[in-house]
Order: sequence, then structure tokens, then C-alpha cells
Amino acid sequence: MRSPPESPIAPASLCRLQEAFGRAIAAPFVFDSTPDGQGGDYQLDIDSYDAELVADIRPRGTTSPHERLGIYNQQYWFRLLSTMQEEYPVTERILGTLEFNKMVMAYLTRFPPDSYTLTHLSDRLGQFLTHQHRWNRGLIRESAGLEYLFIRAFDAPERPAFHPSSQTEYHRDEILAQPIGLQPHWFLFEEHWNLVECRQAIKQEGVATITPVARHGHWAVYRGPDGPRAHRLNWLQARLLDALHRGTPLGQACDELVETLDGNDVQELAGNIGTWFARWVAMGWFASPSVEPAR
Amino acid sequence: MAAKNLGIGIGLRVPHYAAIQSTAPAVDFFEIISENFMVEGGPPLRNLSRVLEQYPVVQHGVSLGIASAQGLDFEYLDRLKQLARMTDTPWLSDHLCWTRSGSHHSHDLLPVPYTEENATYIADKARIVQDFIERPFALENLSSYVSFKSSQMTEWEFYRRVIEAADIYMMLDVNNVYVSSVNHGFDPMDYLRSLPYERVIQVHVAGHTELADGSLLDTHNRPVRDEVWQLYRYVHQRTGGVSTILEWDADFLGFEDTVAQAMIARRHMTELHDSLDEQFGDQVDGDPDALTA
Repeated sequence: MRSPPESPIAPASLCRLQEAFGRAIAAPFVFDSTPDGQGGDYQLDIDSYDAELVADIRPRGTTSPHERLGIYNQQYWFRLLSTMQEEYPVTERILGTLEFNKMVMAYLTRFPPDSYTLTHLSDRLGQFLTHQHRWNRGLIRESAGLEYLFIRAFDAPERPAFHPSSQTEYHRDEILAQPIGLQPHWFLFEEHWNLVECRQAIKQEGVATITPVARHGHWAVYRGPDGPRAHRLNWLQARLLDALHRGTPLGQACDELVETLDGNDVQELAGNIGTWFARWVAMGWFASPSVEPAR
Repeated sequence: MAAKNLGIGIGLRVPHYAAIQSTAPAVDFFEIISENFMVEGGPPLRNLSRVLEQYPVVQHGVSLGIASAQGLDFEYLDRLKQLARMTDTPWLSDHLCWTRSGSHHSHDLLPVPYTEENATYIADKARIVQDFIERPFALENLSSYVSFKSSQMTEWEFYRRVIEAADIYMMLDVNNVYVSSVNHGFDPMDYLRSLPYERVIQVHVAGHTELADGSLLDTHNRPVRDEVWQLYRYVHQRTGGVSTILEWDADFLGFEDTVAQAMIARRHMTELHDSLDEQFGDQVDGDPDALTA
């Protein structure tokens, strides 16, 4: 394969300008909170702009070079903040918009966007939160984690789907011995608050405020025909799917699960597993196993 | 003209999908933001496939950052090229701007000083891009809010120099010419009179927003202003007819109203042709400046 051509070397003056310009537009806002901490406003930190850069910008009318540069500074943050507010509606409502914006600004100052697509904007948000005393709370980490799964489910790759009819092409024993792949857009989510319901209330009913309540449960977050969805799982389903998701072959996953169950649970598993699988296959959760057809 | 005139289209956005599938609207083509479809799966590619069954699609990018001081990102270009194979876009365009500093992507379209060495640097990169993607490549003029004292030439001289040195094409955004003319205090007709129209492969029109200090922001959320349509009429006449896209990116109208906005371009085209027929008969290459008097 032909290697790509060498890119030309940029003029030194262009490098210097872009470094200074890049720092200026990413300068975080200065927030003025109201005494109760619930409201407030922001100001551009125009004094932080590079003096040499500002000196190279022409004033126009009543607008100073600082203010001209400030348009880009403001647009940079408005774009990123609005993207994050759209992707993280539960987290925004838990924190309140002002605090959410402060959190996002701190995060994106620590981890600036490094991809050409905004899809990857929050790839390191989870990592960031665990190191931030101010926002490192279980509820915040969990809501951010849930909302990140919805982002990933949206445009993750899709492998060929596993359909029951294709099962006839394989030996049953081989199927049981092979890992059944879940689709790359499928994720298991364990909740300790009713955050999925909160998200649905925001997305479907447009509610402005939410009150998360403590509740333990499991959900599959996956991509349906029209986009990401969540489907509630009981604990048996979650354990089985978790094992499959980790690559455990179906037969082994069932055996290991049965060993930990009491009689009633074994009965529930045995009585329902066929129905569950049929539903999960219909929802497109499984990718075709990579076994060769039986000879 | 180096490329076929595809007619009048609109920028394809998510709120449009349902209407496109149910009504097959009378637009001639759609323009996509390339990066929104440079993904591995999911609704974007599925929706794009459906649109491609009914309409030509052209690709327009926002993240190439041809003027960024970093080298070209060939992984990005490779994905762009893969998408082009799917869309069979007759040309690809992006902006005459920089978008990243080091690894930091600004997700904005940022201006450079208009200097000889910057023009040469950008043209060298643009030529490589066109060779790599193996399709006609066009750069769009920016709307900008700063201008630099270190510039050595006007924006339109710089734009022309880059395009001609790289031997590529112009994706002329008429609204951007107008927005920058207000923000920087020049006559938009000085800009438009100077362009090499044989290199204009496509045109954008859009609405903008006025700030308190009189500056204009290129927000794509309002109807196209009459002043911009006047400039469009001039461009249309100089090109002899060119593929035209209405961009509408926020505060969305109903889809029918968006299409109606785009069709204003067709009305201007028709009126212009009628007017030229009356004035010049078959000689439609009359003095274009007379039209704006």
C-alpha cells in the first residue's frame, strides 16, 4: 500500500498564532454564583488572552479585539456545553445547569476535545469524575455512566445478527461451547437509583426536574431500530447476560449460574430461558457466533 | 463550470428524516455533514442509505482544518474517502479554516491571517487532499469575527490564491460573504467581482443573526436575508447556474417550510433568466454588474 504523502510544514507564525488562539477560545468562563449557590452568571476571562495575539486583531467600530476574540471563546463553550447538556440531561438536572456547566468546563479544560467528532467528547468523563472531590458522588458517577452508554449505543458497530433459523446450520453442542457474542452496541447497566426512568421522563415527557430515588436493578442499554433504548432485566437475566457479555460460552454460563442458585431459581431459569432468548434474539442483541457450519 | 449543476437542495439534518421518507420532497439533492456519517453503525448510516435511494447527496465537512498547523490526518481522510464511496458524492468540500491546535479540536471554523506563506501552505495541503480523495475538492469561504493586522491581502485575494494554487474548487457561501462584509467593513461586491467563477462548484445560502454591536453571526437559523439573495442572484448569473444548498441548522422550521425557503433560490434563478432573456435575448453573458445596480 502506498504511504500517504508528507504534509507540508506550517509557517512558524501560523503555529504561534494557533497556539495562542486555541488557548484564548478555550479559556474557561468565570462564574459568579448567587449567595445560595443555586443561580448565577458567567463572564469571559478576556484578560487571559495572549497579548501578542490581541495586538494582531483589528478593532472594528465599538468592538475591541478582546471582544472579537471573546465571540469565539463564547461560541466554543456554548457549543460544547449545549452538546453535553443534550447528551447528559439526567446529570444536568441532578447538578443544576450552573453546576453542570462548571463540571463540564473543568472536565473539558482537563481533557480538551481531541477528536474530529463530538461523539467522543465525554470519553474520559468517568475517569475525570473519580478524581474530583467536588463531583465524585455515587449518583453523579452513575448518571454520567448511564448517559455515556446511551452515547456509545447510538453509533457503535453492528455485527451480523444471530437469528434462530441460522442455528440449524450449526451443531447444538458447538453453539453451547462457543461464546455467543452480544452486539457491540449492547451494554449491561446496574442501577442504584431509578435513573433510566428519570431519563425517559426527560426525553419522552420533557420534565424539567427529576427526583432520583434509591432502587437497585439492571438494564440492558442497546440500539433499537430508531436509536438507543433501555430494557429492564431481572437479576437472573442480568447474571446470564453478563456472563455471555464477558465471553463465557452459553453452556458454561448456564452451568455456572445453576451452581449458585437455589431450587426455585433453577426452576425459574429452566422454565423461562427459552422465552427470554427468543425475546433477546428478536431485539437484535446477539451477533452470529463465529463457528463453522457443521460438516 | 467544472461540475454538473445539481439544482436546489438543503442540508440534510436529523429532524428532516421522517418527512423525507414520507413525502419525497421536491428538492434536487441533499448535502450531508460528512463527520456525522463517519461512524461505524447505527441510525446515521441507515438513514443515509434511505436518502441515497432517492436523491443525489454531496458531502460537506467541518473538521478537516486544512489551515491547521498540524499535518493532514490521513486516518480521517481515509474515512472520508470510504464515506464518499458510499455516497458517490460528485465532489467534497470543507472550509478554508483551521480547527485544531495540537491535539485540541476546537469544533469551530477559525480564520488565519491572509499572508503569502499561509496561502502557499494551505494550497499545498489542499492539493494533497484532492489527490488523496480522488474527487474534486472545494473549500468554503468563512464567515469570521476577527481580522488580523498581519494580513497582507484581502480575504477574497487570499481565497482565490489558495484555490488557484491548489487547482481545486470554490464552495462559495454567499451568506458568509455578506456576514464578513458587515463584520469587517468591506463591500461584498468587491469580493464577488473578483472570484474565478469557473471554479465555483457549489453555493451555500443561509440566514444569520445580528448581535447588539451590529456584528453578524452565521447561525443558520433564520430566513435568508434579501441582501444575501441579491448577492446570490449575481453569483448565479456569473456562474450560469450552480448547485445551491440552503443551510438551516437550528431553530428548525417544519420541513415543508424549509423546502419553501430553499425554493426561493429557484425563484431568483427563474426571474433572473426571464430578466436576462428580456434584456439580452440569447446573450445571457451580459454585464453582470448591471444586475445589481
